[in-house]
Amino acid sequence: MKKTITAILLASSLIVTAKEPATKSDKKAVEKTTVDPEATHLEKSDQLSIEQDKQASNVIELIIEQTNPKVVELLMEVEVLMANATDNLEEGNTGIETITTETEIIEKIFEAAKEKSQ
Amino acid sequence: MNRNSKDNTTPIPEELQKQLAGFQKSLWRIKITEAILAGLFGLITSFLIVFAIERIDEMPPTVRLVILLAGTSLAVLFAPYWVRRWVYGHKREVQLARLIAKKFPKLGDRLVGVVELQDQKQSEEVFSDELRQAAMVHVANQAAKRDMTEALPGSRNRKLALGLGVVGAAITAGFALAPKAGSNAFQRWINPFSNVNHYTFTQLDTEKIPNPMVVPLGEPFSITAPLSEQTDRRPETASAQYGDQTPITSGLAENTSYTFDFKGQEVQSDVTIKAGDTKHRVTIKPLTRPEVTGFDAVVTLPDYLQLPPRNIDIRTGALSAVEGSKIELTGTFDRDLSKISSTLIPVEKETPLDPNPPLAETTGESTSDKTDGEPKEGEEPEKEPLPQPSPLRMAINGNQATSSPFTLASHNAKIPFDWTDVNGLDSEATFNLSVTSLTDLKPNPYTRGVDRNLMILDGKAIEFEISAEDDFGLQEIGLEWRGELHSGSTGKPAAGSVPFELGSPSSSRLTKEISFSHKEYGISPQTIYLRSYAIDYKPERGPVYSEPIILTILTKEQHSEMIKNDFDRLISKLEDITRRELENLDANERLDQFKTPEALQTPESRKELAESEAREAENKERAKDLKEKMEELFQEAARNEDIPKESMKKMADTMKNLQELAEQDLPEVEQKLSDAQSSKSTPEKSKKDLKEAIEKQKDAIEKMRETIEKANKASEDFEAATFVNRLKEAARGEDRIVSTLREAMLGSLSPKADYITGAKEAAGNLDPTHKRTLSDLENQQKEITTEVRWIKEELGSFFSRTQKEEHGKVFEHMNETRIDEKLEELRQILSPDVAKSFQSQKFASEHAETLNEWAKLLEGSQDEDGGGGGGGGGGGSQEDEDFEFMLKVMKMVRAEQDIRSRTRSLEQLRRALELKKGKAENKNN
Repeated sequence: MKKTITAILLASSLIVTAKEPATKSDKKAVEKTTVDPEATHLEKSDQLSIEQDKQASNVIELIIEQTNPKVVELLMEVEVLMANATDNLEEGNTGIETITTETEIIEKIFEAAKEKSQ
Repeated sequence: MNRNSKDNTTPIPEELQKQLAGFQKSLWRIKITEAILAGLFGLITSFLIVFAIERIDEMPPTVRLVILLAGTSLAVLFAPYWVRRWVYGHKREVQLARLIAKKFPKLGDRLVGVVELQDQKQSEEVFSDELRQAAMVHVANQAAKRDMTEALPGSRNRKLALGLGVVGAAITAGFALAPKAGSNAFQRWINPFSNVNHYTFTQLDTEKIPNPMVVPLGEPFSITAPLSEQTDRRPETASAQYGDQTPITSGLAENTSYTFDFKGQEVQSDVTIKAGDTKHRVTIKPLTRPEVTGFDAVVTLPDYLQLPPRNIDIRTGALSAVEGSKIELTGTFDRDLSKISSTLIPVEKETPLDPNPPLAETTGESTSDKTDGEPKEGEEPEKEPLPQPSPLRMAINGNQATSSPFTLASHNAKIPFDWTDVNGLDSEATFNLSVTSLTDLKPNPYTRGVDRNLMILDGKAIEFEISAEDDFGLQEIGLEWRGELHSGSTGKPAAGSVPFELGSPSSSRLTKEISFSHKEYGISPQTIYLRSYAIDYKPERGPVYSEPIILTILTKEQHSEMIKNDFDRLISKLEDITRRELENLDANERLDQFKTPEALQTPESRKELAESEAREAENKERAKDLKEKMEELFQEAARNEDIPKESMKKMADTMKNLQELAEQDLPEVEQKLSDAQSSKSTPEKSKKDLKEAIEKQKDAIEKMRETIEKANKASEDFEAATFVNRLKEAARGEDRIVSTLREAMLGSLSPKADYITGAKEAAGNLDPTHKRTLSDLENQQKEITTEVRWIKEELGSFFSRTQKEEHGKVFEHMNETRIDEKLEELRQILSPDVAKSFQSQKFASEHAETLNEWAKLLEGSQDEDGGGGGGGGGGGSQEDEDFEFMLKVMKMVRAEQDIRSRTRSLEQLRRALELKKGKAENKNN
């Protein structure tokens, strides 16, 4: 079981799409308004930083539950990286540096999962 | 006087002197006359020779010179010599005496003696003067008896005079008969190297005969030799000879000219034309006709395209350019030209097919709304009449000819070119240039790497590529979206656009990888019609859109339902695989039951086993495919926090079993069937393999059945969870109605409007804003009512299948309370015609509470089921803990991937805004 999920996890980076509509969506025409694309980048980045921070909290919860030192170490590194990403996003930094940090976070999580499965 | 020293001479007698003087005078007269006559004869004769010969043929100047010199030599050389010889050579008496001695020797000798005596100078003692005197007298007396004129040399004067008379007469006659010829001959005789042309009686107008004459190589040609107006004779025929070929003749046409037709020639030579006594030589140069060596067009595109002029080789005779371009044509030829002509002939254009037809109506707008002024569907475009053909001005510069620039209109054109070189040769054929006027086509935007119709969970970003191509340049590409609310939507329909890449006049293709996160654009769950757009440089065209991507952003509840439905479909596929496996098993059991080990080795049995193996392989592939789809579904489900952990666990179990079936169990069956049919096996081995295959197949089928059972259980859990979510969603819908009414009643929606109440105002007096609000709320309530009806129906069906108590209770409550009827009543009093706002608010609030209670009831039962479903006491097994860890990790990965996609999307948005800003600044500058 563990290995099955691990295999899926390690091999996965796909975005799943469903092919057929399942909901009874109602295409009713309602008064349209335009989303203002000029809304501040900083504001949106700040919102994203909140979500990143939430993820960091989840990692801490996960660390508490773990006993494998190596797994704990890796998850702590993940937490640090997430804190960095949170700070960057708070400052409105959505450039390559932040994206690279997020990629590193993902890879570290994979590493932790792999370590756990062994 | 001293006789011894004195020198004395004795003159000859006077009579003798007189006689000698007379003789001398006669001699001189005769010889001078001879000299004169001889000179004249020579001159006149040489002239006569020239005159006569030139009547036959033209004499070269050198020959005429020789004749002239020969003629003048008698006058210039002979006469002086003759005078010198006879006048100066017979000036003294002794010379005369010697001349006389030739005729009269004795007398002559004595005369010589006398003359010598006269001149001797001796002294008296030697010569006696009287003796000398006596001797001289004696000789004188003898001489006096003779006629000295008889001693004169023979005279040729008569012959010369006669000859002179003859030639003179001939000349005179010639001049009388042909004065022009005579005059011409005289001029040519007296000055052999003068430019005086040879006179002939027949004269051609040589100025009208080109010389040299260039003719097309290998092609027949003709020469026309007209007679001059001054000609004295007009021969009936004339001949012309090309080199040493056979001469051809021509008659005199209309009394004025001769025309000679020659076959094609390839070697240069002279044509000698003979007409009467005249001859004329024309040099013929065969040459190829002038050809085009290069033809280019310089196309200056319309200003709005902002592209540099293009140089195009048009030797093929075809040129295409966009309407509005300025075109300049330059032809290069293999030799200099003297003339070139061309005409611009407008040609009707065929209406082209539009490669980018307007999109079908999706959101009420189509691309034709935003394109340039092209005719709408069903409308015939107005046709302007074609202009008249007009000459195209060409300037020649050596071997090049350039047209004046012309602007390409909306119609096509044909331009024929004809030219003549400096030798007078025309082109072999007309060079026809076809000019096609192109329309600046709309750009072609498209998206790649994403399905046309997809559903995603709220918060997930999608990544794909937008591209566009244009025949010239693209200004920018971007994304545009318009939203439509669905039943799970809470916000307002989204609409917006953002540029992602700026182009340039030379960018005919732009591509951009997009990470689209709807959250970053403030888009709440709804259906989004997402289109990429492209803008080219054509004025007033606007953006052209791609086929839309229909992106449905689902709420968590909707997403759960979607996962559940997909899961059910996968279970059906597993059932189908199981059924096929059962059929395979039956076939194998028949083989085992009815065939002996030896019979299994026959070709027919082997064939059956092979077919069974093939069917097994197919089923294995189906199982693999199903496993992959299940994995994908599992990953998607992991995104949704609302999907219970137990459901996820059951999905994972299903996935595990499928993996074992696909990678282990079914391949083993396949292998055994392969072994059973092996020719190397013994009959007993084959039988054994077949039996083992059957056993394994039974195990596999059992596992399939267990998996289906577990999966159905998981599906039930899903369904149960969705009831909770859907009831909660319906309750939220009612809450929204309550809050909207509250806002309207407090006047927050429209500061100027009075608060709306059904108690105080008649429906007809409602403010339009409130009317609209109530209308919207009525529609929302209608959707909630429909949804709750569905929930009730499905709940009933679920209960009858599962007999779950809580679900039965809720179903019963729903029936007892007649919730669907009450919701319908609420809808009616919400309508603008009724507008019982206070009551509506109260009822909506009550219904929301009821729906929430039912959701809690079901949720509670779900938690109990989940907890008892194999969790065990003491926190669950190690396997469950590991699974939970992995699930959390997977969700974390998914969440982090989403954050990364959204970060990318934000970054792209930031860059796009900078692009927009930069573009606006450029425009202002």
